[in-house]
Amino acid sequence: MSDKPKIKVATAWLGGCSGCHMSFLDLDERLIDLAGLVEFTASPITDVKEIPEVDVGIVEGAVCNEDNERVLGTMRARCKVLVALGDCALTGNIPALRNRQKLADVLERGYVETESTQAGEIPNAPEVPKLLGTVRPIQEFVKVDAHIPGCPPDADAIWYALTELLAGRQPKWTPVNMRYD
Amino acid sequence: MIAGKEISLTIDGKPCKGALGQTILQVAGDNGIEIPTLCYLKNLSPWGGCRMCIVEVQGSPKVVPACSTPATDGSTVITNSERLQGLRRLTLELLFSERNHFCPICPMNKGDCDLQQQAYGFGIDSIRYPYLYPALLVDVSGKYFGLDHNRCILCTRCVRTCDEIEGVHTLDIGNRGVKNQIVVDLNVMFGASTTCTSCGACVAACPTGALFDKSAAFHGPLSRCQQVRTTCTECPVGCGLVVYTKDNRIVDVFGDAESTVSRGHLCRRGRYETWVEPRPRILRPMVRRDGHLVPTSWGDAVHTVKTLISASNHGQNAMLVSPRVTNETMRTLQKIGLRFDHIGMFVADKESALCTSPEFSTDAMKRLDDADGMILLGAQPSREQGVVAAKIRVAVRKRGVKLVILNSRRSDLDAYADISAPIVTLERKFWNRVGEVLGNVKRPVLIYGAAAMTAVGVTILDRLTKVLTSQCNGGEMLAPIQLPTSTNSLALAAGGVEPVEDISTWLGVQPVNFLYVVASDEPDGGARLLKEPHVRAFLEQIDCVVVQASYESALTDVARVVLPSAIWCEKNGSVTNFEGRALPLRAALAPSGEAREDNIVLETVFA
Amino acid sequence: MAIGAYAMGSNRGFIYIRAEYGLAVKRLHIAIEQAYKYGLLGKNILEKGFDFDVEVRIGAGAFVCGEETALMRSVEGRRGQPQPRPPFPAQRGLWGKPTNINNVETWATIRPIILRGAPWFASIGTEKTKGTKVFCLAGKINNTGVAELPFGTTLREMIFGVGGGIPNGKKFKAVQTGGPSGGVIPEQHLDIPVEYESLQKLGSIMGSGGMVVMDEDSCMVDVARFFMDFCCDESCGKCPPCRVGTRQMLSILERICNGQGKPDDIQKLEDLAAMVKDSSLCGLGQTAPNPVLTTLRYFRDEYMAHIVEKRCPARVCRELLHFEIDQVACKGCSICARACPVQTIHKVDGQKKFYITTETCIHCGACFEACRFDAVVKTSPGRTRTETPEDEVLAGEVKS
Ligand SMILES: Cc1cc2nc3c(=O)[nH]c(=O)nc-3n(C[C@H](O)[C@H](O)[C@H](O)COP(=O)(O)O)c2cc1C
Ligand code: SF4
Ligand code: SF4
Ligand code: SF4
Ligand code: SF4
Ligand code: SF4
Ligand code: SF4
Ligand code: SF4
Ligand code: FES
Repeated sequence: MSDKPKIKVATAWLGGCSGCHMSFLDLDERLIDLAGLVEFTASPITDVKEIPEVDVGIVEGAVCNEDNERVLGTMRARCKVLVALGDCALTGNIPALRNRQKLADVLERGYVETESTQAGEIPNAPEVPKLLGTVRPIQEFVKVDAHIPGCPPDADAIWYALTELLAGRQPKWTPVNMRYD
Repeated sequence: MIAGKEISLTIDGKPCKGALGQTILQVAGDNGIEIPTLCYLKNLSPWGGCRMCIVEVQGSPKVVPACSTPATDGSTVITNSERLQGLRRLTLELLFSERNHFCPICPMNKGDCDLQQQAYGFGIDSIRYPYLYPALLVDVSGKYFGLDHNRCILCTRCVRTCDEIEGVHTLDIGNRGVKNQIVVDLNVMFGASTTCTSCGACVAACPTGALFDKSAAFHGPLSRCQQVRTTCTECPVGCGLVVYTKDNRIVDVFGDAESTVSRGHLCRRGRYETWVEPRPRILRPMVRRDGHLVPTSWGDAVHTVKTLISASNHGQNAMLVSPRVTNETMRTLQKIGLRFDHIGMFVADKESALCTSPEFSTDAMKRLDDADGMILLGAQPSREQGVVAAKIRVAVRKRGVKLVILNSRRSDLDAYADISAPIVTLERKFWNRVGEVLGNVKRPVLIYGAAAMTAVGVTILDRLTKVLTSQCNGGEMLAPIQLPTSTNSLALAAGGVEPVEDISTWLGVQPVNFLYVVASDEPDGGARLLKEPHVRAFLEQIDCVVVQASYESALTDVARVVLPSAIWCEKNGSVTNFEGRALPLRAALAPSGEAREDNIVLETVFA
Repeated sequence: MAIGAYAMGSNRGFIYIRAEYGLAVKRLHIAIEQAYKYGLLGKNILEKGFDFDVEVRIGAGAFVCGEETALMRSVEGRRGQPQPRPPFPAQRGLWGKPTNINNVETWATIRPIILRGAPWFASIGTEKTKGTKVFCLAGKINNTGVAELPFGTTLREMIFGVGGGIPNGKKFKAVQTGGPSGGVIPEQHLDIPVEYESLQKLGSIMGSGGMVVMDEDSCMVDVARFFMDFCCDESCGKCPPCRVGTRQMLSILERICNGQGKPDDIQKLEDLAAMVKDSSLCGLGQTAPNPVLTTLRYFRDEYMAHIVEKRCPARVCRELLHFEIDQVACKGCSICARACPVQTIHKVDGQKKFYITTETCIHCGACFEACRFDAVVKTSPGRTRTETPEDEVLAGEVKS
């Protein structure tokens, strides 16, 4: 390994199922190679919460609530290159299915009407982030520099995109290496 | 404009030859140059709406759609400039932003969706414009397929297919602009449509996951299925099928575009009924012991049948076969015929008269395409031979063909007819009207079915011929097309198998003691035999009934031995359609359970 | 039409008119009836052995049905959606037959040309565009109405000559020519002679000959939004560039008007506008971006004011307005308080004056219209800080 300063990476998990992060772990032994090149700072994987200034910020998931919006804003402000990881971040995907319904109905269904709920009520505590009216992909909030499609993206796709970015190139998607599922 | 005159043009720098009247897209395709399309579909009128196929033609500042623009001699066309690629890419992005394309949860995902494939081709990894996230209807009220408006790109391939191929115009577009939506009839749910024939052609035409077959949804991509091309054996038309299978299970059934008979079109029966409708299969041979049918081995069952047949009195055994059996089975029957005193096939109502003079109507499907007048006599294609009905509707609606229907029962086609009357009308005034309607007709065809083979039918035929020769200017001889109801009845009749309609009389005339029924894959298991008066009582009387069938039914209840038959998608061999074409059957699946093909069973039993 | 039909050998004519124009429909029927009576229509016209019938077809009020191929489909009784050309109407038109389609105005010029000859007609107008055109003056102009003028008349002559200038001493700002999808032309180009080529050069069109005059009180972003709304609503939906493209442009314009514009919105608008113009099937989509493109060309600063400063210079975009009551001018008549739909105007304690609680004001402008002493002041002060969501979030975080 060289003594070059390692590239700092942070990842964030917004409205997603964490499948994209799981897929990240599917890099398997390549994770070790990656660890030689980059340093993981804040990430659900490292369990470090506070996002420092980093070179690359990777975001999984759509923007569903005010906290997602806040984290995304912080990430954008503190990273040089922002990468959207997975369809939820790109299109809204599964979380955006709730956009069909009115927010009030969604909350009612989730917290009050569910079969297993007794005397449920819609939370109103300040520490519970408020849901946004509609779930939206991250590029509708901030500028995104690279996208990795897939639900979740293959480990191969993640590897390809990251190595390209580390080499200072924009990933190029072709029918061979891209999927939306 | 003389169609067919050769023209030369340059496409992407490559000198190309084409014929006058061809579109740029066709010429490019013939010369190996691919232009992306979405709303274009072969055999449909060009729509020019999706703007994916736009090309630059030298001398014109505007881009033009290749799918609808005629190629002109000496022109220079560019199909892949940076500008065009940019425009196409943005069109795709707009389509994705318009509705909810969440591929991971789409039934068309993984390679079956043209929209997705196009997007992969353009490497679209994100959409620059905000998603509109409409909350549109997911209409799964139909029996066989669903329509998810959230994935529709409004290419109108379904609309045009329904209008131009099936000929019913169930679908169209409603509203304006971004509020556009496919509407069914006068905006009802698919399940409530009064015009849809469930032919499924619209689903086959849809490039996205908007229209999807329910039974095929989420069973993996078609691109990864095995494909077998075979023939529909539900009626004598013999449409070509492509059966998609995976793990010895049918994933979907589509029309075979290569079929000279049907060119890819199917009716509800061929497209869905055969594999979507639940039918209880007979999976093992069974022998009756102590009043109950018990499963047994093939060896035991065959042995039992052999013992029974040798015990039966000579001159008292008979065989009834379904008119659906293959030509190969017919040949086996001819071989083993000597072993039986009587062999008959149980044809449909009134069909025996058709079979006594079996006539194949060569090139009937092509003649239907060319005809400018049609007379439908005693046939019910909208019930029985759906693809013929589609041709008739299209002929009336698109080519203004004159249609006269003479029938005793009402039919869906009546609405398309210039005259539709009960078969018994013989008034002079009526025939004058028929004469008027068919007045200018040059190439009339007469399509007649089983119900025409009556005394009245013959009189009517006579009258028609008179009307056409006397009143029609330059009227040609009426070209007849015989349209039977049962799949292979004409071939079997031509092969010497006697058609039987009145079962009990047939059985009664010859005292029968041993009856072998080859019901094959009759959808009702052959139970319609029992509907004839006195037949059940008769069968209960006689010593022994052997039933060779695919599906359980009331018929198996009276059987001593039951032998499992393979069904349509498990058969090899051929059937002969009403045009006299021998059409191939190719097994798409291995037979279920211990079922075997009819001719193999017969050969084993009578070896 | 009968003359044209005679020249072309046609025996059937149709006049297509929107159902909404009831009076015109009625008059047309009377005129046709009279023509039949005089033997100018029908069988054996003027004993020349020539037959020609005219029918009126009523359209259900879709703008796109003015496009010739859509019009023909509508006449046939089908859904009025444009078809790609070729085939042109003259090759394959109504029911597949060669068809000639012209505007009523075009037909109307035939008679004078026959009477006075082509050289006479050609002597009117400019070198490239001959004859006259009926213009329809509307908007902020003293003499609204229809005027027939020779081609080559300058916009200034039209607006300040025939049109009699701008009312209430306001300043002229721009004129939109050619109908809802025409471009907007600013003051500096008023002296161009009106002809097809010159308008095209300025990014506009001749179109219907409509002239909508706007004064200093018009916000150009709002104008673009208004016309985009129209085109988006009237798009037939056949092709995605127009169907979705106009919708997306409208979203962007709306968000700019609401003060939520983002720095890259202008780029996005320009990309989309160019694409919709290039890719759309028919004239509607091909011209729909004109108002956006021309306002961007001539009034870019107004866009920037909305996006960067969150300010509407013409004080039109509601979300960017601020209402206040001038405590000196206010006479305390309370008419504004009664006009306010959200009751947010209150009396100043112990004084015959009123004030507005800014937080709950919905910027509806009712008080501004109501006050007879010009005491309600409408401003668009703008916000100093740009508020894209990320900045907002950041600001929030710094505070906490
Ligand atoms: C969206 C659209 C709307 C149109 N509306 C009208 C209309 O209302 N009246 C009209 O005369 N022409 C209208 N046109 C123009 C016609 O399509 C056609 O070009 C014109 O009437 C031809 O007549 P001319 O050559 O005599 O001008 C419209 C065109 C488009 C693209
Ligand atoms: S893209 Fe798929 S895997 Fe990733 S978070 Fe969303 S749902 Fe999970
Ligand atoms: S229709 Fe095609 S693009 Fe749309 S969700 Fe389905 S697979 Fe994806
Ligand atoms: S199933 Fe057939 S009839 Fe029904 S809408 Fe589709 S194409 Fe038309
Ligand atoms: S349902 Fe399918 S075929 Fe029909 S318009 Fe929509 S995308 Fe096209
Ligand atoms: S017309 Fe006959 S052969 Fe064709 S699909 Fe229908 S049932 Fe099968
Ligand atoms: S440009 Fe607009 S109005 Fe014209 S065909 Fe396309 S969608 Fe319809
Ligand atoms: S602008 Fe409207 S809401 Fe605001 S104070 Fe005036 S009247 Fe009330
Ligand atoms: S394929 Fe030509 S416009 Fe759609």
